[in-house]
Amino acid sequence: MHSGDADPKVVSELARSLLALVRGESCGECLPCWHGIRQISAVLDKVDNGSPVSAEELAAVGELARTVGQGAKCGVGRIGGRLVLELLSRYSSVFQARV
Amino acid sequence: MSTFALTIDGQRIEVEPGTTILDAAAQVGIKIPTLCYLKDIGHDVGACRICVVEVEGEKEFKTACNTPAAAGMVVHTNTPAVREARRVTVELILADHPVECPTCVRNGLCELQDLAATFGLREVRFPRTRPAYPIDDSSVAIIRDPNKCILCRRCVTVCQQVQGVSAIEFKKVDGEAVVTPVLKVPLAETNCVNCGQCVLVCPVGAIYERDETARVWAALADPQKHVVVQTAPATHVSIGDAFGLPTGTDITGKMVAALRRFGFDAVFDTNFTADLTIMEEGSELLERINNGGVLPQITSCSPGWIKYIEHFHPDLLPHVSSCKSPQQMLGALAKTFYAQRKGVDPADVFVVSIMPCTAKKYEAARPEMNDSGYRDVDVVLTSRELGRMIKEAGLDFANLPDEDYDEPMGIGSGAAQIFGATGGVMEAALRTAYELVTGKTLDQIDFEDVRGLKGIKEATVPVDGLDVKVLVSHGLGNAGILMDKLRAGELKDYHFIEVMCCPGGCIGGGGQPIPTGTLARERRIGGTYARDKALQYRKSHENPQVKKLYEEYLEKPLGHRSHELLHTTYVARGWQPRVE
Repeated sequence: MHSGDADPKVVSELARSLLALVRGESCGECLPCWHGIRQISAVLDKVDNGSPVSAEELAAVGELARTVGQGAKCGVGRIGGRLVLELLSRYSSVFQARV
Repeated sequence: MSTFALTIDGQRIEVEPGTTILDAAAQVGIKIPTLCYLKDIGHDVGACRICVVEVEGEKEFKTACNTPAAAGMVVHTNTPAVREARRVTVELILADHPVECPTCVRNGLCELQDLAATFGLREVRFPRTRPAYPIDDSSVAIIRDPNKCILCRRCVTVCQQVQGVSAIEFKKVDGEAVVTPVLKVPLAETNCVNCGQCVLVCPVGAIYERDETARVWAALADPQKHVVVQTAPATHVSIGDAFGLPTGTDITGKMVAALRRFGFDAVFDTNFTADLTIMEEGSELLERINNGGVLPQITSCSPGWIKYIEHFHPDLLPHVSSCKSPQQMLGALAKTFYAQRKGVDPADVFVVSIMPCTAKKYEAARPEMNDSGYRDVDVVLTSRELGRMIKEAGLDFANLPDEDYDEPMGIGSGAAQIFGATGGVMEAALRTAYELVTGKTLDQIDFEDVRGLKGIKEATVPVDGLDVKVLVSHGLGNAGILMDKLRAGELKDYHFIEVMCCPGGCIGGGGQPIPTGTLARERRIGGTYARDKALQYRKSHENPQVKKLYEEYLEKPLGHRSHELLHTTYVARGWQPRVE
């Protein structure tokens, strides 16, 4: 993923659709991926549809993404978690708290 | 094989090849937290990811429960990243787990609760994501609350791998990962044998026994009812667990005292009818041997085993002894022989059983179990339910005096006591069969070959010129192995097979206090044989009350009344749910 200027809508849409893909593949055999990807998706959906998002929620997404990316049983969760971390660090302006 | 060294949190340790990181850490005094892992049943699927650790040179965490230690490995079990992952994972599980701890059957005995406490978790930041599921109370014995299921899959492993029943499975249904009865039917419509091993291994309160304590309290409070109770052999060495006594402690006398204080009109011992079972089943075996009957004969005491063979091997049912289990024999006698002798209307007699077993609830509810003219056994309570009643009544269990059972069904031999451990029914039968056939006294009455936790055991005992060959199995997976051999004609030389549904026999039954794992099983087996040695009578045919019962009521083993009250028939159920 490039790190130049990007349309926030494109970034959040990308994040949402990537996570939807991971969520569809998540099988439930390992718990951080099964639960974690759902919780991350819920917050990223809010970012994408313009709902209020708190700084705590975004911080929690970071914790979840690290947990899933490092601890999931297979590549689905591991890649999913890392994608989220990548998005959060490269597009911090998109993933910001808002009321 | 040679040992090798690795480093865990700065401590060097030598381990054997094949040692997991989890076990290696334990050797240096580090208890890595786990949740889904359960060594006793070989469950190391790495579902929960609570036991994650960092290994130098690896980009991702490793799960300590199923990662073998390697030479030169440098492991860190307590880094900020590891702590964060563990805490977040517990938080995620709790987000989708109803936190109803005070009203949960497993309150205080919950591994998830323990883990949250260990981590000092004080809040759950995430919302629930799962749909609400209906509670499955279709079974008379076992209730499932899928809402509390944390998807650890221990129950699936024990049901499929240990018991070979596969009544439940893990799958994705409508986008949701769930543990469900096969084909999504209610549990009662599957091959579930009600063994309750799933209940024992569930870390939370997602599977549990049907609680019938209220029915017993109500009967005790009813002045019209004559309420009697019986206690199974395996409960004699298990109920102390619920009161902090060392596992395997013989609490027989205290249990009798507690039951009497509840107000039971008579406290009987299922050991009495275990001795009676030996008389009937031993006689049946001799009859089969002498008259060319179907051999080998297979025991019928274990209701989980009976339902298993009815579903999975119905063609082999002619091998199963027609004897009812000791529980059902006592129920039938309580409402006939005892009621008559006591001068009470059998319609008013209410029979309660204290059993180590969830399948006994199903057995008591079988339609044919009414040979007394009434429901032979009215309520079956598991060891756990009795433990709860004693606590509710406020009895200081550990300090109760030891009291004796009531006549005329209160004496049990050591042979009856060992019914509770795998191999015990066989040993009891051998002690009696030898003496009845040969007329000689058996000098060595301890049959060590059939004792212990080996899955399938065998012995050959010379009895009056005949080498009696016997087999013993426990855990239905092992029963399945024997049944396949029997069908293939490989067991033609054998005379008698003991099958117990649960690993370890009834002392490891699905109704026993939690935790019941390998260690508890070993200790209860120890307590069982210690009590056998300490009892006045050690052979079933020496039980004076059993002799008297035959003299005064039954006449003789396999006699007319015995057939009426103590024997039963089976149902060829076949596989369910039916697949079209």
